[in-house]
Amino acid sequence: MHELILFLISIGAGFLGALLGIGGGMIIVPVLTLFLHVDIRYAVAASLISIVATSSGAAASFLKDRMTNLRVAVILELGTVSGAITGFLVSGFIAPRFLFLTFGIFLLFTGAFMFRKREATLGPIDPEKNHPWSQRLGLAGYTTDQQGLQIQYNVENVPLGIFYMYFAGILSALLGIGSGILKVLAMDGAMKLPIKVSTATSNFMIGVTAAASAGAYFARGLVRPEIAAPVAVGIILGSWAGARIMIRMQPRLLRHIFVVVLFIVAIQMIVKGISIES
Amino acid sequence: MKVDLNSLENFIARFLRIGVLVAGFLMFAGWMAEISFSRDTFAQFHVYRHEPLVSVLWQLVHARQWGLLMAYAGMFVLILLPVIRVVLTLFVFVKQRSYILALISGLVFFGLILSVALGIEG
Repeated sequence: MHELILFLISIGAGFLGALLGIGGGMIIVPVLTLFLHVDIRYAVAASLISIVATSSGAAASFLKDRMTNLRVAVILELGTVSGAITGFLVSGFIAPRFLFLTFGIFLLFTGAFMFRKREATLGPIDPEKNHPWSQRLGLAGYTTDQQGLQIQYNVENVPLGIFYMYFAGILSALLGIGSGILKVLAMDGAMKLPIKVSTATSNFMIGVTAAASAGAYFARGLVRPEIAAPVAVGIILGSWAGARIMIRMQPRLLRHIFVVVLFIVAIQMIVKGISIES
Repeated sequence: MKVDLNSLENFIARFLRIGVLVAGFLMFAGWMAEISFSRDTFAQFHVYRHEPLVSVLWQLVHARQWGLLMAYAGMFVLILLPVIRVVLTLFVFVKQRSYILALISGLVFFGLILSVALGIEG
């Protein structure tokens, strides 16, 4: 019976995750630990699987509709992966409480900024706006809007984006959450990509970092199919639906949903930072 | 440096779609084979027990729980998908002569392996 509840919740988590380019960790972990009383280690392992499933499940649709920018993804993955390694190495020296609080407060502020409507730098590739690295590596691309029309966009502030990603990698290695949100913020906020390209590309990338941690958890015997199978199957179904709907959604609505979730995560983190033993 | 990305994106999209279907089917079939509506499956996970993967799998083989083993195979495929995807991107960038991006994909792959190794030890 519990598996069925978990399965249904996972469909919702996959849907939301595919829509916003975040993993389902913020939903799966509390459900498993608070309601089903599963030990946190098994819960984190299942949530890593859920991130991998959300990412791969939604990616096919996004790639076909030109939502994902593969070149940007590869560049930014370098930042995330090196951040994750740094995170593993410094994990003994940084108090999680400090990270939860700073990150939570940071998100509250960014959420407020993000809510204000802002147009991405759409239009033909413009050397004034397009960053030299983007120019050199051919990062700028085109996507399709709700009516299926092509729109071109520029990529700005590439180094700042990579720096954000490095930080996202450290955080996800240390706290296990929040990296999807930071990825979207880096692309939408710093690099000025369209919101849909940002969430789809984030969705594409979260799978890679999560797979690295999931592989380690898997080898340690922490990923248990009794929990992970219903979660993953539910997530895959939810993410298929989420990806299809996102492609047809108004960018503005997507931005607003993202900001709401961002505030929830920020509060979740601040509460955690206050309540944690350090 | 104008490269057509269409074929690359469609190829990776197809690869991921098939991979997810295979992984999802294995996990679903395995889950259905072992599902029980009577007992609380999660009770055994309320407390953490240290049990490496090899010993878990060994016990399952002995107990002939093929369903769970199938689910394990599905999870393994699922975890492998993003890793293979990075390697695929590397090859395609080489083919398109985007050598800097190919190099970066290679570094990402190396970093992935390193972080799995760090995670297993940690």
